[in-house]
Amino acid sequence: MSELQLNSSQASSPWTNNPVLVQLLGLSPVLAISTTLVNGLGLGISTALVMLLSSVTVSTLRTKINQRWRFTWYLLITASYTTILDSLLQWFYSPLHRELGIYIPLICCNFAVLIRLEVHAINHHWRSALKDAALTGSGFIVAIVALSSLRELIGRGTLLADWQLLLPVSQATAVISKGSNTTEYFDFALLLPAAFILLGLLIAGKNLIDCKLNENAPVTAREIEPIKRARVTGGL
Amino acid sequence: MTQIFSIIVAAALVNNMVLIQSLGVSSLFAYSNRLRNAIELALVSFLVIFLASAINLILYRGLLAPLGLQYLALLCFVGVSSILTLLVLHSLEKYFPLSMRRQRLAFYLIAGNSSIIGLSLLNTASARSVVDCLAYSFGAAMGFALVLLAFTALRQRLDGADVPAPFRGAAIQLISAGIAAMCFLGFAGLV
Repeated sequence: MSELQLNSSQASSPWTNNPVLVQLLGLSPVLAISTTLVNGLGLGISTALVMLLSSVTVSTLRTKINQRWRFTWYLLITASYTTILDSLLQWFYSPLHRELGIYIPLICCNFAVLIRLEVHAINHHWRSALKDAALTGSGFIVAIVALSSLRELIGRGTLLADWQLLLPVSQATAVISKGSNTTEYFDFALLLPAAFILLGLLIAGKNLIDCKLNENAPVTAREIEPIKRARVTGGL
Repeated sequence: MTQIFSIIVAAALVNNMVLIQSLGVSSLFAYSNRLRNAIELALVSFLVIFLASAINLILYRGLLAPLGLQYLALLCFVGVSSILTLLVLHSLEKYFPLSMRRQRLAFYLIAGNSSIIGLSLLNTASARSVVDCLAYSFGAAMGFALVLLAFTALRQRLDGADVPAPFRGAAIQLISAGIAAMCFLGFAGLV
Protein backbone atom coordinates (compact mmCIF):
# COMPACT_ATOMS: atom_id res chain seq x y z
CA MET A 1 0.00 0.00 0.00
CA SER A 2 1.43 3.33 -0.93
CA GLU A 3 1.81 6.23 1.46
CA LEU A 4 -0.77 8.12 -0.55
CA GLN A 5 -3.53 5.64 0.19
CA LEU A 6 -2.43 5.20 3.77
CA ASN A 7 -2.63 8.89 4.59
CA SER A 8 -5.74 9.69 2.67
CA SER A 9 -7.87 6.87 4.03
CA GLN A 10 -7.95 8.51 7.46
CA ALA A 11 -10.82 10.77 8.42
CA SER A 12 -10.42 14.24 7.01
CA SER A 13 -9.71 17.09 9.36
CA PRO A 14 -8.19 20.52 8.85
CA TRP A 15 -5.50 19.91 11.45
CA THR A 16 -4.58 16.25 11.93
CA ASN A 17 -5.07 15.25 8.30
CA ASN A 18 -4.62 18.53 6.47
CA PRO A 19 -4.53 17.87 2.70
CA VAL A 20 -1.52 20.11 2.15
CA LEU A 21 0.48 20.03 5.36
CA VAL A 22 0.10 16.33 6.14
CA GLN A 23 -0.81 14.53 2.93
CA LEU A 24 1.22 16.81 0.62
CA LEU A 25 -1.56 16.85 -1.97
CA GLY A 26 -2.42 19.66 -4.34
CA LEU A 27 0.92 21.29 -3.81
CA SER A 28 1.41 22.83 -7.23
CA PRO A 29 -1.19 25.63 -6.98
CA VAL A 30 -0.34 26.20 -3.32
CA LEU A 31 3.32 26.75 -4.09
CA ALA A 32 2.85 28.80 -7.22
CA ILE A 33 0.01 31.10 -6.20
CA SER A 34 0.86 31.88 -2.59
CA THR A 35 2.86 35.06 -3.34
CA THR A 36 0.16 37.31 -1.87
CA LEU A 37 -2.61 36.65 0.61
CA VAL A 38 -5.29 37.86 -1.81
CA ASN A 39 -4.23 35.34 -4.46
CA GLY A 40 -4.07 32.62 -1.85
CA LEU A 41 -7.55 33.38 -0.56
CA GLY A 42 -8.97 33.51 -4.08
CA LEU A 43 -7.51 30.18 -5.07
CA GLY A 44 -8.32 28.53 -1.74
CA ILE A 45 -11.97 29.53 -1.86
CA SER A 46 -12.31 28.48 -5.52
CA THR A 47 -10.77 25.09 -4.81
CA ALA A 48 -13.02 24.55 -1.81
CA LEU A 49 -16.07 25.43 -3.91
CA VAL A 50 -15.13 22.95 -6.64
CA MET A 51 -14.45 20.34 -3.97
CA LEU A 52 -17.87 20.78 -2.34
CA LEU A 53 -19.82 20.73 -5.60
CA SER A 54 -18.00 17.82 -7.16
CA SER A 55 -18.13 15.59 -4.10
CA VAL A 56 -21.88 16.12 -3.79
CA THR A 57 -22.23 15.31 -7.49
CA VAL A 58 -20.08 12.20 -7.31
CA SER A 59 -21.89 10.84 -4.28
CA THR A 60 -25.26 11.49 -5.90
CA LEU A 61 -24.22 9.71 -9.08
CA ARG A 62 -22.30 6.97 -7.29
CA THR A 63 -24.56 4.13 -8.42
CA LYS A 64 -24.25 5.17 -12.06
CA ILE A 65 -20.48 5.63 -12.21
CA ASN A 66 -18.71 2.75 -13.91
CA GLN A 67 -16.08 1.25 -11.62
CA ARG A 68 -13.46 0.89 -14.32
CA TRP A 69 -13.80 4.38 -15.75
CA ARG A 70 -14.48 6.14 -12.46
CA PHE A 71 -11.33 8.19 -12.58
CA THR A 72 -12.35 9.63 -15.94
CA TRP A 73 -15.73 10.47 -14.43
CA TYR A 74 -14.16 12.31 -11.50
CA LEU A 75 -11.99 14.33 -13.84
CA LEU A 76 -14.90 15.18 -16.13
CA ILE A 77 -17.08 16.29 -13.22
CA THR A 78 -14.39 18.46 -11.65
CA ALA A 79 -13.48 19.85 -15.07
CA SER A 80 -17.08 20.89 -15.74
CA TYR A 81 -17.31 22.76 -12.45
CA THR A 82 -13.90 24.30 -13.01
CA THR A 83 -14.90 25.53 -16.46
CA ILE A 84 -18.02 27.16 -15.03
CA LEU A 85 -16.05 28.71 -12.19
CA ASP A 86 -13.41 29.94 -14.64
CA SER A 87 -16.01 31.73 -16.76
CA LEU A 88 -17.69 33.24 -13.71
CA LEU A 89 -14.39 34.51 -12.34
CA GLN A 90 -13.48 35.96 -15.71
CA TRP A 91 -16.79 37.75 -15.70
CA PHE A 92 -17.00 39.11 -12.19
CA TYR A 93 -13.42 39.11 -10.94
CA SER A 94 -11.34 39.66 -14.04
CA PRO A 95 -8.30 41.26 -12.31
CA LEU A 96 -8.12 38.37 -9.85
CA HIS A 97 -8.62 35.90 -12.70
CA ARG A 98 -5.63 37.45 -14.50
CA GLU A 99 -3.50 37.10 -11.36
CA LEU A 100 -4.36 33.43 -10.87
CA GLY A 101 -3.94 32.59 -14.55
CA ILE A 102 -3.41 28.94 -15.43
CA TYR A 103 -3.98 27.71 -11.87
CA ILE A 104 -7.76 28.23 -12.01
CA PRO A 105 -8.25 25.61 -14.77
CA LEU A 106 -5.77 23.39 -12.97
CA ILE A 107 -8.12 23.05 -9.97
CA CYS A 108 -9.78 20.21 -11.90
CA CYS A 109 -6.77 17.95 -11.45
CA ASN A 110 -5.91 18.95 -7.90
CA PHE A 111 -5.10 15.74 -6.02
CA ALA A 112 -6.61 17.10 -2.82
CA VAL A 113 -9.98 17.13 -4.60
CA LEU A 114 -9.64 13.88 -6.53
CA ILE A 115 -8.43 11.82 -3.59
CA ARG A 116 -11.43 12.78 -1.46
CA LEU A 117 -13.75 11.82 -4.31
CA GLU A 118 -12.08 8.43 -4.62
CA VAL A 119 -11.74 7.70 -0.92
CA HIS A 120 -14.94 9.14 0.48
CA ALA A 121 -17.55 10.54 -1.90
CA ILE A 122 -17.82 7.48 -4.14
CA ASN A 123 -19.23 5.27 -1.39
CA HIS A 124 -21.06 7.60 1.01
CA HIS A 125 -24.30 9.50 1.19
CA TRP A 126 -24.16 13.07 -0.06
CA ARG A 127 -24.50 14.60 3.40
CA SER A 128 -21.46 12.74 4.61
CA ALA A 129 -19.62 13.64 1.40
CA LEU A 130 -20.50 17.29 1.88
CA LYS A 131 -19.16 17.29 5.43
CA ASP A 132 -15.98 15.56 4.37
CA ALA A 133 -15.42 17.99 1.50
CA ALA A 134 -16.03 20.95 3.81
CA LEU A 135 -13.42 19.69 6.26
CA THR A 136 -10.86 19.03 3.55
CA GLY A 137 -11.59 22.31 1.81
CA SER A 138 -11.18 24.29 5.02
CA GLY A 139 -7.89 22.50 5.59
CA PHE A 140 -6.76 23.54 2.12
CA ILE A 141 -7.75 27.16 2.79
CA VAL A 142 -5.97 27.16 6.16
CA ALA A 143 -2.76 25.88 4.60
CA ILE A 144 -2.74 28.24 1.64
CA VAL A 145 -3.62 31.25 3.83
CA ALA A 146 -0.83 30.43 6.27
CA LEU A 147 1.77 30.03 3.53
CA SER A 148 0.69 33.04 1.49
CA SER A 149 0.50 35.43 4.43
CA LEU A 150 3.98 34.31 5.49
CA ARG A 151 5.36 34.86 1.99
CA GLU A 152 3.66 38.22 1.56
CA LEU A 153 4.93 39.43 4.93
CA ILE A 154 8.51 38.38 4.22
CA GLY A 155 8.57 39.26 0.55
CA ARG A 156 6.68 42.54 0.44
CA GLY A 157 6.21 43.60 4.03
CA THR A 158 2.46 43.91 3.57
CA LEU A 159 -0.54 41.82 4.48
CA LEU A 160 -3.69 41.63 2.37
CA ALA A 161 -2.46 44.33 -0.02
CA ASP A 162 -4.73 44.96 -3.04
CA TRP A 163 -7.66 43.50 -1.12
CA GLN A 164 -9.96 45.21 -3.62
CA LEU A 165 -9.28 42.29 -5.98
CA LEU A 166 -11.61 40.21 -3.82
CA LEU A 167 -14.55 42.49 -4.61
CA PRO A 168 -16.60 42.03 -7.79
CA VAL A 169 -15.16 43.86 -10.74
CA SER A 170 -17.25 47.04 -10.74
CA GLN A 171 -15.79 48.24 -7.45
CA ALA A 172 -12.33 46.81 -7.96
CA THR A 173 -11.30 48.44 -11.22
CA ALA A 174 -11.00 51.88 -9.66
CA VAL A 175 -8.46 51.10 -7.00
CA ILE A 176 -5.97 48.54 -8.24
CA SER A 177 -2.59 49.81 -7.22
CA LYS A 178 -0.12 47.29 -8.61
CA GLY A 179 3.46 48.19 -7.83
CA SER A 180 2.59 51.11 -5.61
CA ASN A 181 4.59 49.51 -2.84
CA THR A 182 8.06 49.77 -4.31
CA THR A 183 9.95 49.08 -1.09
CA GLU A 184 12.07 45.98 -1.61
CA TYR A 185 11.84 43.55 1.22
CA PHE A 186 13.32 40.06 1.16
CA ASP A 187 12.46 39.47 -2.48
CA PHE A 188 13.58 35.85 -2.45
CA ALA A 189 10.42 34.87 -0.57
CA LEU A 190 8.38 35.51 -3.70
CA LEU A 191 10.33 32.92 -5.75
CA LEU A 192 9.35 29.28 -6.01
CA PRO A 193 12.32 27.82 -4.04
CA ALA A 194 11.33 29.94 -1.07
CA ALA A 195 7.80 28.56 -1.32
CA PHE A 196 9.15 25.02 -0.98
CA ILE A 197 11.38 25.97 1.93
CA LEU A 198 8.75 28.00 3.79
CA LEU A 199 6.18 25.22 3.38
CA GLY A 200 8.75 22.81 4.77
CA LEU A 201 9.28 25.09 7.76
CA LEU A 202 5.51 25.38 8.27
CA ILE A 203 5.19 21.59 8.33
CA ALA A 204 8.07 21.37 10.78
CA GLY A 205 6.37 23.95 12.98
CA LYS A 206 3.14 21.98 12.88
CA ASN A 207 5.00 18.81 13.86
CA LEU A 208 6.64 20.70 16.72
CA ILE A 209 3.24 21.91 17.98
CA ASP A 210 1.86 18.39 17.74
CA CYS A 211 4.87 17.17 19.71
CA LYS A 212 4.32 19.74 22.45
CA LEU A 213 0.59 19.02 22.59
CA ASN A 214 1.04 15.34 23.34
CA GLU A 215 4.43 15.18 24.97
CA ASN A 216 4.76 11.42 25.22
CA ALA A 217 3.39 10.54 21.80
CA PRO A 218 5.89 10.34 18.95
CA VAL A 219 5.96 12.82 16.07
CA THR A 220 3.00 12.21 13.78
CA ALA A 221 5.00 12.74 10.62
CA ARG A 222 5.46 9.83 8.26
CA GLU A 223 7.35 7.04 9.91
CA ILE A 224 10.75 6.34 8.48
CA GLU A 225 10.88 3.08 6.60
CA PRO A 226 13.64 0.75 7.68
CA ILE A 227 16.72 1.24 5.54
CA LYS A 228 17.22 -1.44 2.94
CA ARG A 229 20.76 -2.39 2.10
CA ALA A 230 21.30 -1.36 -1.46
CA ARG A 231 24.07 -2.25 -3.85
CA VAL A 232 25.45 1.09 -4.94
CA THR A 233 28.19 -0.06 -7.27
CA GLY A 234 27.53 -1.78 -10.57
CA GLY A 235 24.20 -1.81 -12.35
CA LEU A 236 21.13 -0.84 -10.40
CA MET B 1 17.24 21.39 -36.11
CA THR B 2 19.28 23.60 -33.79
CA GLN B 3 16.16 25.50 -32.92
CA ILE B 4 14.27 22.34 -31.99
CA PHE B 5 17.17 21.13 -29.88
CA SER B 6 17.33 24.43 -28.03
CA ILE B 7 13.58 24.33 -27.43
CA ILE B 8 13.91 20.85 -25.93
CA VAL B 9 16.74 21.90 -23.63
CA ALA B 10 14.87 25.04 -22.65
CA ALA B 11 11.74 23.07 -21.80
CA ALA B 12 13.59 20.38 -19.86
CA LEU B 13 15.94 22.55 -17.82
CA VAL B 14 15.33 26.29 -18.06
CA ASN B 15 11.55 26.10 -17.80
CA ASN B 16 11.46 22.84 -15.88
CA MET B 17 7.86 21.94 -15.25
CA VAL B 18 8.20 20.82 -11.67
CA LEU B 19 10.83 23.01 -10.13
CA ILE B 20 10.38 26.27 -12.07
CA GLN B 21 6.73 26.31 -13.08
CA SER B 22 5.42 24.24 -10.18
CA LEU B 23 3.20 21.89 -12.18
CA GLY B 24 2.68 18.36 -10.89
CA VAL B 25 4.68 18.85 -7.72
CA SER B 26 2.58 16.39 -5.73
CA SER B 27 3.91 13.55 -7.88
CA LEU B 28 7.31 14.01 -6.32
CA PHE B 29 6.01 13.21 -2.87
CA ALA B 30 3.10 10.90 -3.51
CA TYR B 31 4.79 7.84 -4.91
CA SER B 32 6.88 5.17 -3.26
CA ASN B 33 10.51 5.97 -2.75
CA ARG B 34 11.96 2.85 -4.33
CA LEU B 35 14.18 3.77 -7.22
CA ARG B 36 13.02 0.78 -9.28
CA ASN B 37 9.37 1.86 -9.08
CA ALA B 38 10.37 5.43 -9.79
CA ILE B 39 12.12 4.41 -13.02
CA GLU B 40 8.92 2.74 -14.20
CA LEU B 41 6.86 5.72 -13.17
CA ALA B 42 9.21 8.16 -14.86
CA LEU B 43 9.12 6.25 -18.14
CA VAL B 44 5.34 5.87 -18.14
CA SER B 45 4.84 9.51 -17.13
CA PHE B 46 7.16 10.62 -19.91
CA LEU B 47 5.17 8.60 -22.43
CA VAL B 48 1.77 9.73 -21.16
CA ILE B 49 2.69 13.40 -20.79
CA PHE B 50 4.23 13.62 -24.25
CA LEU B 51 1.49 11.67 -26.05
CA ALA B 52 -1.39 13.35 -24.24
CA SER B 53 -0.10 16.86 -24.75
CA ALA B 54 0.58 16.11 -28.43
CA ILE B 55 -2.97 14.81 -28.94
CA ASN B 56 -4.39 17.74 -27.00
CA LEU B 57 -2.40 20.18 -29.09
CA ILE B 58 -3.60 18.71 -32.37
CA LEU B 59 -7.17 18.50 -31.10
CA TYR B 60 -7.10 22.13 -30.00
CA ARG B 61 -5.43 23.55 -33.09
CA GLY B 62 -7.31 21.36 -35.54
CA LEU B 63 -10.79 21.13 -34.07
CA LEU B 64 -11.59 23.39 -31.14
CA ALA B 65 -9.98 26.65 -32.23
CA PRO B 66 -11.42 26.68 -35.79
CA LEU B 67 -14.90 25.94 -34.43
CA GLY B 68 -14.61 28.57 -31.70
CA LEU B 69 -15.11 26.06 -28.88
CA GLN B 70 -12.17 27.16 -26.72
CA TYR B 71 -14.23 26.96 -23.56
CA LEU B 72 -14.52 23.19 -23.98
CA ALA B 73 -10.74 22.83 -24.02
CA LEU B 74 -10.44 21.80 -20.38
CA LEU B 75 -13.06 19.05 -20.66
CA CYS B 76 -11.40 17.69 -23.80
CA PHE B 77 -7.91 17.73 -22.27
CA VAL B 78 -9.10 15.96 -19.14
CA GLY B 79 -10.92 13.27 -21.10
CA VAL B 80 -7.99 12.64 -23.43
CA SER B 81 -5.44 12.48 -20.65
CA SER B 82 -7.35 10.08 -18.43
CA ILE B 83 -8.39 7.75 -21.25
CA LEU B 84 -4.86 7.73 -22.63
CA THR B 85 -3.46 6.94 -19.18
CA LEU B 86 -5.74 3.93 -18.88
CA LEU B 87 -4.95 2.72 -22.40
CA VAL B 88 -1.18 3.09 -22.01
CA LEU B 89 -1.26 1.34 -18.66
CA HIS B 90 -3.33 -1.61 -19.89
CA SER B 91 -1.31 -2.08 -23.06
CA LEU B 92 1.96 -1.91 -21.15
CA GLU B 93 0.78 -4.41 -18.57
CA LYS B 94 0.22 -6.99 -21.27
CA TYR B 95 3.89 -7.04 -22.15
CA PHE B 96 5.74 -5.96 -19.03
CA PRO B 97 5.20 -7.01 -15.43
CA LEU B 98 4.84 -3.59 -13.84
CA SER B 99 5.43 -3.39 -10.13
CA MET B 100 3.04 -0.46 -9.91
CA ARG B 101 0.04 -2.75 -10.23
CA ARG B 102 -0.63 -2.73 -6.51
CA GLN B 103 -0.52 1.06 -6.31
CA ARG B 104 -3.30 1.58 -8.77
CA LEU B 105 -4.89 4.63 -7.19
CA ALA B 106 -1.63 6.46 -6.71
CA PHE B 107 -0.66 5.65 -10.22
CA TYR B 108 -3.80 6.96 -11.89
CA LEU B 109 -3.49 10.18 -10.02
CA ILE B 110 0.10 10.62 -10.94
CA ALA B 111 -0.11 9.70 -14.58
CA GLY B 112 -3.21 11.81 -15.04
CA ASN B 113 -1.64 14.64 -13.14
CA SER B 114 -1.75 18.36 -13.44
CA SER B 115 1.40 18.52 -15.53
CA ILE B 116 -0.42 17.12 -18.57
CA ILE B 117 -3.26 19.61 -18.31
CA GLY B 118 -0.87 22.42 -17.44
CA LEU B 119 1.35 21.65 -20.41
CA SER B 120 -1.64 21.46 -22.75
CA LEU B 121 -2.94 24.79 -21.48
CA LEU B 122 0.49 26.38 -21.90
CA ASN B 123 0.62 25.04 -25.46
CA THR B 124 -2.77 26.50 -26.31
CA ALA B 125 -1.70 29.89 -25.00
CA SER B 126 1.63 30.00 -26.84
CA ALA B 127 2.06 31.37 -30.35
CA ARG B 128 4.58 28.72 -31.42
CA SER B 129 4.13 26.51 -34.48
CA VAL B 130 2.89 22.95 -34.02
CA VAL B 131 6.34 21.38 -34.46
CA ASP B 132 7.85 23.74 -31.91
CA CYS B 133 5.04 22.95 -29.48
CA LEU B 134 5.65 19.23 -29.91
CA ALA B 135 9.35 19.77 -29.22
CA TYR B 136 8.43 21.79 -26.14
CA SER B 137 6.16 19.00 -24.88
CA PHE B 138 8.90 16.43 -25.48
CA GLY B 139 11.40 18.47 -23.52
CA ALA B 140 8.96 19.22 -20.71
CA ALA B 141 8.08 15.53 -20.33
CA MET B 142 11.78 14.71 -20.24
CA GLY B 143 12.37 17.34 -17.59
CA PHE B 144 9.53 15.89 -15.50
CA ALA B 145 10.99 12.37 -15.67
CA LEU B 146 14.46 13.70 -14.84
CA VAL B 147 13.30 15.55 -11.73
CA LEU B 148 11.19 12.59 -10.61
CA LEU B 149 14.17 10.22 -10.76
CA ALA B 150 16.58 12.67 -9.15
CA PHE B 151 14.15 13.40 -6.36
CA THR B 152 13.46 9.74 -5.62
CA ALA B 153 17.19 9.13 -5.29
CA LEU B 154 17.36 12.13 -2.96
CA ARG B 155 14.52 10.77 -0.84
CA GLN B 156 16.31 7.46 -0.47
CA ARG B 157 19.29 9.33 0.92
CA LEU B 158 17.09 11.36 3.24
CA ASP B 159 15.57 8.20 4.71
CA GLY B 160 18.94 7.18 6.04
CA ALA B 161 19.94 10.63 7.27
CA ASP B 162 19.76 11.75 10.88
CA VAL B 163 17.21 14.55 10.73
CA PRO B 164 15.84 16.48 13.76
CA ALA B 165 12.48 15.02 14.83
CA PRO B 166 10.07 17.80 13.70
CA PHE B 167 11.72 17.93 10.27
CA ARG B 168 11.42 14.20 9.62
CA GLY B 169 9.38 13.11 6.61
CA ALA B 170 7.61 15.79 4.65
CA ALA B 171 9.39 18.87 6.00
CA ILE B 172 12.93 17.93 5.09
CA GLN B 173 11.79 16.67 1.69
CA LEU B 174 10.17 20.00 0.89
CA ILE B 175 13.21 21.93 2.03
CA SER B 176 15.52 19.83 -0.11
CA ALA B 177 13.15 20.29 -3.05
CA GLY B 178 13.47 24.02 -2.43
CA ILE B 179 17.24 23.80 -2.63
CA ALA B 180 16.97 21.76 -5.83
CA ALA B 181 14.65 24.42 -7.27
CA MET B 182 17.22 27.05 -6.37
CA CYS B 183 19.78 25.09 -8.40
CA PHE B 184 17.40 25.01 -11.37
CA LEU B 185 17.09 28.79 -11.20
CA GLY B 186 20.74 28.77 -12.21
CA PHE B 187 19.83 27.36 -15.62
CA ALA B 188 18.15 30.65 -16.53
CA GLY B 189 19.89 32.13 -19.54
CA LEU B 190 21.34 28.81 -20.68
CA VAL B 191 19.49 28.87 -24.00
